[in-house]
Amino acid sequence: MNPECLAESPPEHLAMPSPVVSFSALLEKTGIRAFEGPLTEELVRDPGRYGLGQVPRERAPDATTTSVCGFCSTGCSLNLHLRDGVAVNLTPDPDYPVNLGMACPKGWEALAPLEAEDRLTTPMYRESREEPLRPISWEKAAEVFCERMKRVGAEWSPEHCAFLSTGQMCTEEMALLGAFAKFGMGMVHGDGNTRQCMATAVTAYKESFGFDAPPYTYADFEESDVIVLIGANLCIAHPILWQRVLRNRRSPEIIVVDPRKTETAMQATQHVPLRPKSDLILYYGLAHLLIRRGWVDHDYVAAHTGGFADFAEHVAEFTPERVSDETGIPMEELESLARKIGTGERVSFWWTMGVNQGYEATRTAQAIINLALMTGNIGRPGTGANSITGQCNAMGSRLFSNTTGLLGGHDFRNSRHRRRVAEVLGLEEETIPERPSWAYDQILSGIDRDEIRALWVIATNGGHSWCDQNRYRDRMDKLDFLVVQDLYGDTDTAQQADLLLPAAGWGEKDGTFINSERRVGVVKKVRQAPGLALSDFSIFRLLAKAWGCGEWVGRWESPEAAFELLKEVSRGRPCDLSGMGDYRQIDEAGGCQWPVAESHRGRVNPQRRLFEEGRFFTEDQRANFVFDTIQPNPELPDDRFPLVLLTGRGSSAQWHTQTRTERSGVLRRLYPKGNYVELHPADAATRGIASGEQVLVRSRRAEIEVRAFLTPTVGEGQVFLPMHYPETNRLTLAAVDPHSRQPNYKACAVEIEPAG
Amino acid sequence: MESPTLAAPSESGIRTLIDELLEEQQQLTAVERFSQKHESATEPLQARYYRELIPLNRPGPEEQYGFEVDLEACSGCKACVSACHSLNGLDGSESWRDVGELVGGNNGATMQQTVTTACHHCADPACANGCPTLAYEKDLDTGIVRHLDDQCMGCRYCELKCPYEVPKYNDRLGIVRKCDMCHKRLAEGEAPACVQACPNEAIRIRVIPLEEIEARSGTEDHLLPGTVSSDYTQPSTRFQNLRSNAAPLPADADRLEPAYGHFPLAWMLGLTQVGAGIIAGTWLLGLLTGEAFSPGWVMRGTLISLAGLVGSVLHLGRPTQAWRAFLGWRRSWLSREILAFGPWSGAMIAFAAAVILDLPRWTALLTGGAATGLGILGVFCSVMVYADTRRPFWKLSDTTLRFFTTMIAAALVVTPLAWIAALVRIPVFILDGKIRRGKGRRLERTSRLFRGPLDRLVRSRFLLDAIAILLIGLGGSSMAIPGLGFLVLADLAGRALFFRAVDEPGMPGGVAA
Repeated sequence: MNPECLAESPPEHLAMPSPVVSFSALLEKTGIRAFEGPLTEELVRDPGRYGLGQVPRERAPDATTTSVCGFCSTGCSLNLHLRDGVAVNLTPDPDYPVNLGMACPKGWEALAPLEAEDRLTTPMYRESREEPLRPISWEKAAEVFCERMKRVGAEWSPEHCAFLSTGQMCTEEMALLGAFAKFGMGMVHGDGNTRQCMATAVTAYKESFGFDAPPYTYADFEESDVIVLIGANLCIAHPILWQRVLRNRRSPEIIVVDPRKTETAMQATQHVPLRPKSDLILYYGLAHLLIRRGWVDHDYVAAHTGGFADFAEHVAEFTPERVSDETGIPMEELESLARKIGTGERVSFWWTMGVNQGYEATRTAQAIINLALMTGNIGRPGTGANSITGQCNAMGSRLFSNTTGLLGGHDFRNSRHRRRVAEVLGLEEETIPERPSWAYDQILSGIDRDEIRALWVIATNGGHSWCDQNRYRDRMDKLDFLVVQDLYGDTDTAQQADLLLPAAGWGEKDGTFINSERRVGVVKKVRQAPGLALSDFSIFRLLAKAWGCGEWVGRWESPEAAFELLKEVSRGRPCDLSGMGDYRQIDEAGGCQWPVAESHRGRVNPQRRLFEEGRFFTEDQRANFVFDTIQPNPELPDDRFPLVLLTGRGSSAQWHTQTRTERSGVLRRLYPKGNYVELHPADAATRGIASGEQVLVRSRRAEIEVRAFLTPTVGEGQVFLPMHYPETNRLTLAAVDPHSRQPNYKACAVEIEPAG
Repeated sequence: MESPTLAAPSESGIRTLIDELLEEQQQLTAVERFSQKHESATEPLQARYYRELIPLNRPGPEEQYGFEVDLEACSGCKACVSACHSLNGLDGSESWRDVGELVGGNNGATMQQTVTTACHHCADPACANGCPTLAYEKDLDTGIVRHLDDQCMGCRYCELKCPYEVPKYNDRLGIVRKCDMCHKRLAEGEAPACVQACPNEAIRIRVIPLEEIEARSGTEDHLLPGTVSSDYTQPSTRFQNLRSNAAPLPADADRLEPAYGHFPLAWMLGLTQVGAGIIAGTWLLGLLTGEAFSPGWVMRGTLISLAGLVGSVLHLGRPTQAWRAFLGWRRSWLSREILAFGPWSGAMIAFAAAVILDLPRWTALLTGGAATGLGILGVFCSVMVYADTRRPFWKLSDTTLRFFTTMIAAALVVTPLAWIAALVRIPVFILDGKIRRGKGRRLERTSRLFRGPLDRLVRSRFLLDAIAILLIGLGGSSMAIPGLGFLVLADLAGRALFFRAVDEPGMPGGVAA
């Protein structure tokens, strides 16, 4: 007990004069009423110092340090309360330009998943799938890894080995994995779970802007007059970005385009409840209206874009009558929407998974980009066609994972690029494949064709998250060798593994993440990993050395050394990091947005947006209007499956497949224990379903039993399932967008009936 | 950090690297490597975000602090729940804030509304009124309702008394704990954890005139749709800007989870009522007939009663603190129940001693009379303990019927008129049958529980009771003992049902799945 503190705060009730209180004081004095004692002591709060205000005495720190959160791409900074260097608690960082002193529950609970009793603490292995996994040493694990991967390489070819990685690792780790797997092990195919979230935005930006370059900075939320949120439920998926919307003092119009009346739609000034997957028609229709009403910024279009005339011709047929008919949005709503976009001084468009996860997602994202381009809403404060990323390091993965794109925003097909990368990494140019990787779905279908025989899965859980899940699991079973590297050994995917590698988690390692607004932020090691768990970076180094890549991997001696390599590799590319300082300098600066050329070192504004001069990354420096014909939904509702199934985030306390969030007691109390389907009362009535009843949800692929939750927030003919429960993706259709190869999670056909 | 030399691969090279990596994994160097930004900061850096969310002045006379929630700003992020947990150093999943949801659809209007809620620091706190140990303190200066953790004996009665699910039991400590509005933070000009953490500034602290609380605590006032009428406790929280055109209901309105069973309490109620009945019946029989008191029945009655009372002690989280339970007698029916049952056990033992040791008849008459009187008083207090929670299933008339018919039936069993006991059971049969069939809107959820998850318990109760009635009704006094056995079993099932089938009032919850 700290005697100083007791002296500072005498019990207030002692000072009270009334006779009632003196009776109370008597009871206290005699100990009959205990105002103090060991139980009261448990919750004593002390001044926390370090600018923290009061903190629980039990967890008072002796130092603090900050680290960027490891859940979503918002990239909030958390202030870690350290005791002897170990993080014992955390609060949101009041100074960071992203989150301004706030965090969502996942951020607040970031340390809890590390403390789980069931962490994977040792490598585990089994010779055959019939046996249980048994603990082995790291030496043995490295040996088994090399031997069995090489066996597949010898029996088939090194190309028959592939990896599936993640947006949850540090950039340095992704880069080392990509480099080792492709330049060391001879793999050609490797992809990440970012395929499930960001691939569409990547492809759309590349084709429209010439590079995968989200143009905005979060301050744009605060500086916009019209904020158009498309398939984005910020309140639940990105609560801290919603905070930024609320900080907007310009009384903005907030337009939410979403089939459901989401938490965010509740807050909108205009909710546009379009029919599922009718968005491309909607945006072409809006472009049509903008042209018809003369709301096009012709000067901007002429100076900075290409292909507008063809685009204008393309949208001529999307008359308000047709669009209203196909989207279900009344014509006057369309007019009002077009007016707001056409006449708003600063209009910003923001999209998330509602757009990205569709069968014609890339063209939809580009249709949004087109609206921004034709109204000149780009490169100015409060504007932009802005994709909000999913995972904490989705953008690190986009630029540095060496999967479909060569390290550092390069192209595998470009010999100049291969030479440059080889030079920086000290490699023979020939070790670099001349073609990009297959996408996730192609790697999986490669298993069917015996073109993939071994798979290394790192920090992702496809056995839960991939669509048509039963088929995914069958494919894992078919492999000669499945390696899973994770914090826990009980994920759906890990349970099928031959070799399990225990990884350290966020908070147990150093590195950097890149958030949605291109901000590089530092993550720090503030916890000791349990048992033999190693950081992914260390695991890659170890395996690389065991494989025989010791020589060139020597340059990757630490995450920070790797970061220097990445700065060098990105030099001169649009995602130039070369002018960034070291970890310490980035940390002190509150993160740093790319690009920073060497010549700009130390002279960059903390809030920057791209394309302020109207020059894009295409060869002619003009942005392209990209458009296409409307494609039919690959699985329309019919008589047997008359309902459209939507999936998405259920609550702010749940993260993806719940591998981490289910390990926090606090987070567990913030979401429903079991899966539930949201169903419109009218659809429930025709099926004789009462709220709270168990129901069967059936698609062409599977049937699951969940609880019915009747709510008019989903439209008639639509149902919604949260994606965090393992059953959901047994129903979904494994269709992908042909350009981005991102899966179409958002619309497949189902039917519901009472269970039992 | 030292870098290992990575020469040609070799067994020993790998071994060395593994050792180095494992060692490096355990080294924490962030403090040395990164600058210490706020080493000398004395003021809370977060204050810039919450300064306008807490009042400048402390409450004056006839005023208190209260939470004000702007529902338009509450968007369901639930950061407040996490922050309460972390900034207060709470256990496991403990937090004193919750977030629920209202959902509605009406005439084309559709809505959902998340609702952040914590203790309402009521002007007339039911928790404090019911606490037998005076473990609640309504601070006269601030109006904050504090729980005195060291005073608590862990009886959990406040959980039943509070209609807003505020006091939360902590298994590790055997006490309840609750929101104290971070009163020590407020005293230092810092905002409570939830206020600090809300990204949308949806929660603020206001100084509220008591008059205002009273004015919005009429019998027709409710904090939110689905909550009890505010006259019960006069909650100080104000929920602003509810968009109510869509007739919202709590998202968990359809929940069908039985309430916590409180088994030791079910045991205690069932046995004390049977025991009190046996003692009363034996004593009255002796008194009216002038014959000797039956030592067998006195023993049985006493033992059953004592076994019941042990249950009441066992259910306490901190039984060693039970001696404090008399303190709340001025307001708490639980305190009164304890004050009645304590001497009652003494009187019974004395009665038993007088009968068994064959002491002069007046001693038995006196002690038996005291035991009978105190037993009736105790059972009456038991009734009031539950009736005082204002839960419809536990309303005074029904609970009186349940508890006293048990006592009367047990009393009759020891007499030659045992068969009448069978008749006495009938009203409860009818009452529960009505509830099961769904008569009476106010007990809708109880009725659904009766038919759904508690169906087996309901049927067991009916069956056990039927057997007891048959045995006693047909066999009369000769079947008294087996009949009584089934009566006890039926009552234990009945009391378990009493707890499990109650419709617990609360704040709007989340989707129940």
